[in-house]
Amino acid sequence: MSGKLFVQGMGVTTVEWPRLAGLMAAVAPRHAWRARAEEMEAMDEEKVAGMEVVAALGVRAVHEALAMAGEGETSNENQLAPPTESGGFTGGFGGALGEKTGMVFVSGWGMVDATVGYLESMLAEGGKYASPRHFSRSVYSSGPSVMAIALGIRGPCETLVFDDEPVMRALARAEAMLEMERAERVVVCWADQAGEIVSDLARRAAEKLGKREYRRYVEEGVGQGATAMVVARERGKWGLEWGMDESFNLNTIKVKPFPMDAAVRAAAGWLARTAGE
Amino acid sequence: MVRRSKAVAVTGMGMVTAQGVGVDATWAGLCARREVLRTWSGAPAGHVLAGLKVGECPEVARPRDLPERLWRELAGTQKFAAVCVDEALGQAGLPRVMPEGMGRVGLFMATTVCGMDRSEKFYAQYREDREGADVGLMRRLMPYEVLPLLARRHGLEGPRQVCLSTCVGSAMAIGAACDAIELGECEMALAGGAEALCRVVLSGFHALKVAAAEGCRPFDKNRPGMTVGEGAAVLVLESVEHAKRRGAKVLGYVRGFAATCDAHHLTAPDPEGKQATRAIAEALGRAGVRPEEIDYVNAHGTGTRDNDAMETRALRAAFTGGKGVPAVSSTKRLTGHTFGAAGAIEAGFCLQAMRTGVVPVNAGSVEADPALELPVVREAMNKEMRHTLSCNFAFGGNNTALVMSREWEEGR
Repeated sequence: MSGKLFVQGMGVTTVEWPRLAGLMAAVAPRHAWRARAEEMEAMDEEKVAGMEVVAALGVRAVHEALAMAGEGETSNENQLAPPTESGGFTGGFGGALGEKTGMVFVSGWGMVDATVGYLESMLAEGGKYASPRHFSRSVYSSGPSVMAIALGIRGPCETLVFDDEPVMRALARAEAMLEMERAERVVVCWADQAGEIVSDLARRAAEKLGKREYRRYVEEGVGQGATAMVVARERGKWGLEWGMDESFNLNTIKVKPFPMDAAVRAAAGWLARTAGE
Repeated sequence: MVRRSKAVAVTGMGMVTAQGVGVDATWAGLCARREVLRTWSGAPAGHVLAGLKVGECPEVARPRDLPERLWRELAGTQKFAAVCVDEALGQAGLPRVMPEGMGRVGLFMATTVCGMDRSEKFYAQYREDREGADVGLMRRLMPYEVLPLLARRHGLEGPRQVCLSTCVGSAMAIGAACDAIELGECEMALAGGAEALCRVVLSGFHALKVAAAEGCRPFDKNRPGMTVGEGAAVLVLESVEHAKRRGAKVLGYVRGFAATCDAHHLTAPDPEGKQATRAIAEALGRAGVRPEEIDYVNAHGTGTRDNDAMETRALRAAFTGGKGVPAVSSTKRLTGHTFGAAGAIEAGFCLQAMRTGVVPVNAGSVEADPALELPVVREAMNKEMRHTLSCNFAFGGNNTALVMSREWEEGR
């Protein structure tokens, strides 16, 4: 592919690093100002709290990434921010800009709470009261759909899974979207949630099915979080070039494991590398 | 102005639907307007789902190279996918395992159900007896597991992914595969989708009150809703140069693909269909095909009130002027709605329509809806077709459009 891939903004939220600013302060203290948390208008917490966990994690990370990318001035249709008379910065995209924005969403375990909630409702009372709300929220793509609605993203929104290298492969798909001019910028988001059932099933997968990749959850417990990157062919306000190589991973960053935790380490590595720290 | 796409050759197809196993069996059923919907065999007597008509596939035979134990462990979607890949590779004149020198071959699949047919059984046991639940049912339930299964079996070393964007999933998979071929990430790819019936999906659409008990009637005045189905399709896609180099017979060409999102509602489409119209217009622009050149539209046509009304608006807006909207049909009455597999199955129908000159009929509709002014194909029709359009729409307001052509000339 021709051209460079710039990360215009980034967002991270995990148990250990609830906001990007904290992660930046840890890996690139002199550049922590780039997180621009102080310039973000408050999200409508009531709306976010009503979302499925994975969607809420994703929205927080994407909101942060958009703020870092400096998309505020052109936003006007966001449904996430509390309504204001002036319609100021919301962190989302307006009509035309939203049509030029795509999304790639990746999750290892999907919408765990909604799936369990739906299965419970389906199995109780002979299925008489299966929950339509839980059903529609249980599909993997409901997370990015909620994010697209909240942020006004109207370009191609793809929900993908990979059997290996989810960070590089998702960025490669985003790059292909840019190269094919399907979008002018792509929001890439990796998100997963923790939960009692996830921990229990991970233990069984490791112990009874002999799946080695699940051992880390038994040893360290299951974490949750989301990472978001706004990528484009242009540098943008703060854009820094993405390097598609393994040296961008900062493996020393402590994160309780979840399927998409590699994205947090990649984000940390990118921050440290581009800051030269 | 949108970027013009390079044509990508389709050289093989594999299909499993309620009409039968294989492209020929399916197409013969479609042409004969064969009604195959039946009550779901998996519903217990007296259950709320008993009596609900579905599009259920015949049982597929285990390919000889897959051990019986592995076959028992596979989810329905994985079995369908494996059978479709075999048929597609055979039609493309390719061996079961890619030989050296074939280059990187990509794998772009789609599903919504994944291994849910097995995990719902596991969960039913688990909620009663956590430790006693059969963990073997969990073995292959993750949605990505079809990738290593097929990649190892067929020696596929190119890029691979599974798209989980529900009803547009396999259309997106075809689009992503075409992108990968055009960008030189691979010269050939397998792309498609697979879904298997399970209680979760049936129960979910029943709960949403959009499942029609007696079967869907797309674009009908009294359309009662959708019909849940299962099935799979896989296409062999390759660069025109690659197909020429190996002397492959070309079945047709993917010319343009586009995807948009309504950003409107989690389950309902934007009634105005603005982004659906934009997807159609963009796909035509990428293909370099004018609206009046499209000979047939395979509509998403689920048979729900909202979808069919929105799709009508979108098509009418995309085909303003000229000859207006071309012949339109939904094939879902004859297959059921196969969700993540629908895009690939219906792309296959577009190719078959162009190859055979038969326009698939819009089965199920008895009385035209005067509110939907569309040239719906109500009787079997023969017609020469050069260009077709396949539309799909999904939960979350995802819209896709795929333009395919029978022939393609360089420089057009």
